[in-house]
Amino acid sequence: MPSTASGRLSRFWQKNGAGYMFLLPWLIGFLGLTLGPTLASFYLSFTDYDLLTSPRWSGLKNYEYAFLYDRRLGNAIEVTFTYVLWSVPLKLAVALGLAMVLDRSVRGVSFYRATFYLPSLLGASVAIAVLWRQLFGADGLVNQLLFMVTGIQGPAWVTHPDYALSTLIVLAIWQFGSPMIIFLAGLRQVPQDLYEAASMDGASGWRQFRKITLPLLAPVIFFNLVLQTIEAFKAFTQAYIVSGGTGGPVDSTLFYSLYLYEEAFANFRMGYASALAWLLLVIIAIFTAIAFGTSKYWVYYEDESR
Amino acid sequence: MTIKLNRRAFGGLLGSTIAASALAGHRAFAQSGGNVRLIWWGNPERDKRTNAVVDQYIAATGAKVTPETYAWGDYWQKLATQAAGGNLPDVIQMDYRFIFEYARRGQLAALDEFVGNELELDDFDPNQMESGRVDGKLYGVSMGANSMTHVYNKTMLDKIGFELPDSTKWTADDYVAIGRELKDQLPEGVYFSENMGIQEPRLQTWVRSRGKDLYNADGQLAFDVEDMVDYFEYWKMMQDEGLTPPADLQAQDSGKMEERMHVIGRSLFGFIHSNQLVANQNLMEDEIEIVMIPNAGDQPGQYLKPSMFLSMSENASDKSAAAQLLNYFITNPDANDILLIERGVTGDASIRERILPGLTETEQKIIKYLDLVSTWVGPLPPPPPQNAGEIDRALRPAWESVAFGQVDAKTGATEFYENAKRILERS
Amino acid sequence: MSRRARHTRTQVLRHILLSCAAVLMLYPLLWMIMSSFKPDELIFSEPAALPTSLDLSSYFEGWTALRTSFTTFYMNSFIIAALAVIGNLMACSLTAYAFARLEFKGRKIWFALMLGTLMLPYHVTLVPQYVLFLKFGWVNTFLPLIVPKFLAVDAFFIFLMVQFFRGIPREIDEAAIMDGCGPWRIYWKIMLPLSTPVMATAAIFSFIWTYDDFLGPLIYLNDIDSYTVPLALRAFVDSSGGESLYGELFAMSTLSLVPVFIVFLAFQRLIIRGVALGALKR
Repeated sequence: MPSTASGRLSRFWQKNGAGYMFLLPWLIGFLGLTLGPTLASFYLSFTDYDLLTSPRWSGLKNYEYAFLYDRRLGNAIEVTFTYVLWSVPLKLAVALGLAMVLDRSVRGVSFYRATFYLPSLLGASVAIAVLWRQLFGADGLVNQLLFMVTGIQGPAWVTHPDYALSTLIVLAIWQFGSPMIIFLAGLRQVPQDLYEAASMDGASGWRQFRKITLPLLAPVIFFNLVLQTIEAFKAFTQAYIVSGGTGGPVDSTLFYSLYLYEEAFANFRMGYASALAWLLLVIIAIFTAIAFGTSKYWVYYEDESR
Repeated sequence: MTIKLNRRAFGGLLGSTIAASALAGHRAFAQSGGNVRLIWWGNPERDKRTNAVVDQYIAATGAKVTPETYAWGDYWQKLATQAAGGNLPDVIQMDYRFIFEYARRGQLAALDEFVGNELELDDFDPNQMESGRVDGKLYGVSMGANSMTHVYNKTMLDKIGFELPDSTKWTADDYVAIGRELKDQLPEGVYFSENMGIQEPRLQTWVRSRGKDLYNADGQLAFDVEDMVDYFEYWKMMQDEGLTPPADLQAQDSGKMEERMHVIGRSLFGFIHSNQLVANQNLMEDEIEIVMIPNAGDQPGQYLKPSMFLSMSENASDKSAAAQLLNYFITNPDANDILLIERGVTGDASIRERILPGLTETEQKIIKYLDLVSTWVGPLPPPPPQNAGEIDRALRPAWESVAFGQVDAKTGATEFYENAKRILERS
Repeated sequence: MSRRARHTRTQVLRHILLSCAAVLMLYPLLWMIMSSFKPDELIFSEPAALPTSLDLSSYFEGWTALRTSFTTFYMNSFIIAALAVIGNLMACSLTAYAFARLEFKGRKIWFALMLGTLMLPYHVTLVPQYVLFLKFGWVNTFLPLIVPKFLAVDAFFIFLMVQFFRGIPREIDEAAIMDGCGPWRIYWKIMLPLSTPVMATAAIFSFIWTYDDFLGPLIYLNDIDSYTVPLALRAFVDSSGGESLYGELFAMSTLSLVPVFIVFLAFQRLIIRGVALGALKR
């Protein structure tokens, strides 16, 4: 049987051609805009590159600087972790709490659901960040209300290093709507007769929550946790607008993304910025690995057979 | 939503959308067709005047001009991005801090070939012209001279009835003493002085008055860590004594003119450059006045600096058109009737003659001030090194960590100093 | 207390709790909207009060407060968002169809790689993509914001569509194959018409995400005439426009939320189902 190269190719094409035709746009995008740049970024992370002159190989210098000398990076990591570790659990707790209240109440569910979801949809916009900056300003709404109610003159939240980050955490919690929707959908799949049976046995609401809701909802919680954590690591716009692009005061809102942006597009250290990107990739990968690694101890899927 | 498409229509649609988007993008890609892009950093007053001159120029010549403006902080970031992208605007407002860097990286066009043609600089003061030269070539035409200054609220001070000493002689210690004296006489919520811990030019006068400078000609730090410590300790002391606003109030000033403490009526004194007086005054009801900066040593801390230049991009598509616009700003009488001395006092003798008599009282103050300063100034410092901008930006968090009490002044100053050295090493 | 009474009481409590939460959630938004109708000096002096009259001047003045008017910014935003929607729908559905229905060598590997890109933070590709587009001369054009969508870079939509396509009974396309239909015809005549819900969801989200995108335009658009609405708002905050422009700022911020809000009102069910769908089918 003649098995020439072109023959093989044409047979390959006959069997797989249609698939690859459909895949073509994605394939170009994947190779050209994702895989290629990812590899390029890895290469650049070992160079000095300011865009105007071509990249110069600098070995491990960028990583050395990042690990040994870069205080702002240490600070940016701390800020980002603080943000992630506070905003994600609180957001999920609020989302789950309200989802459970909503799940039981009969009238007006869709109205409440829509109302609670709206901030999630709007929250990513610059307009909301602008609003937040005014809300928590020295003479902003929050301080006005605080003064009216308690007579205390509140600090200038967004320009005080002790509070600026908390305003961003509050902003994140405010957008609890989308995990709430997911929880709601998850709760709908919990069979009601389980609760009824538990009630018959005299189990308290808290016990029902711990013994029925939580375990059955674990996959959904897990999903929300991973999704929100990754989102929180990537946060940029809100910190940029609220801090006026500086990550201030005293770098207290210098999110990792913001620092990377500044190094790349204000200081034009493209090589160093690439190294920062790879460090972030590793950090996120570790977080995800931890989440998946521990998930087998607390997440049970109903169809474990797959 | 049932879209009926066949393969041909699909390809066509893809093609046409990409073409459409390219077109849409090209509208933004305003570089060709005699359109001149002009960019400056500014303040409300400058924007108003510059836009008026642009409109006038368009009306007079029928040329196309696209103006862009940013606040100082954003400006350099935007400009750097555009430089990297090879699409710098054609006519660029430049600062002494950056002109060497941009010129040496080949981003700016040498203007010498236009002098005598599009650029009519016969009446231009040769000394001012000199400041725009890099390696012997002219890369920017100075738009005027200015100097740093302390601005104060005259209305407020007059009400108290206090007489300031001769500002060519006063010292940093006098400044504190006056502050202490006035502290209790100021209205509720008004502080004696803006806190200038984050003001890099103020730091420069501090070290220069001690016979040093921020940078030497080799681009190294030219002051000592002790100077830095003194500087932070001085301002921390002012803050602790309640002579300057508390840290969180001061931090609300992000560098925009309308947020400055003296402009919003929260401080008696503030730090500005002399050419900013007009714009400051326009934002305020009270009358303001400018005086020299109290010295921290026995050398003159101040110098007369070119306030800003107009430069041209090396990539300008129509250099002649760009040069004409540039010339219009520098030499056209009608244009300068609008611009006056908002950007500084022009080096063009005939323009100066024309506009000086008609200046407002506020503008006269600037002229008088520059005369005063020129009796007690040091030489123009060498151009700052490439990463000076980053060091300037790093001063803010460094000072604020001191102001908010996260570290003491000595630690904060030392860390900043070390950090500045490292930034210079990295370039 | 009877069971019924207790039930009613908990119901009432629930509604009180929910209403309080709803008010708390919406109050910042309402404050912004109310403020946009007030003269500047009243915004901070009477924060809780309703505007006494509908003062629209902030809207008119805000619209043209920057040298380029918001007409241009909205045009730019809508052009980019519309093309992004088209690009995402076409490219992602093609890809999803290949993954969901077609047999070809390497499908599993490519699919795994596609899922992998879901987890890849954008930071990693940010710099090289910028350099690439810079070399193409695309910086300061809309192309870097649009072309990637035509190359199915948003893996989330592919994933969403794959899930949906897999739910369509195979018998339908097997019958079509019997009738001699090729993959293209099945894709156009069967898959797409049956996938309206997922396509609509993808369209809605790509519109909202593109419309709200800030980092992309921030990096790629320089010229104020090419600004999108978020960039313009940000320029508004930073512009040296004087100290008392809060009314205008709030007016323009409020307006900028209107398109997303309209989409939300019109497609509420789809959006909420879309959010839940993405999670539960996994």
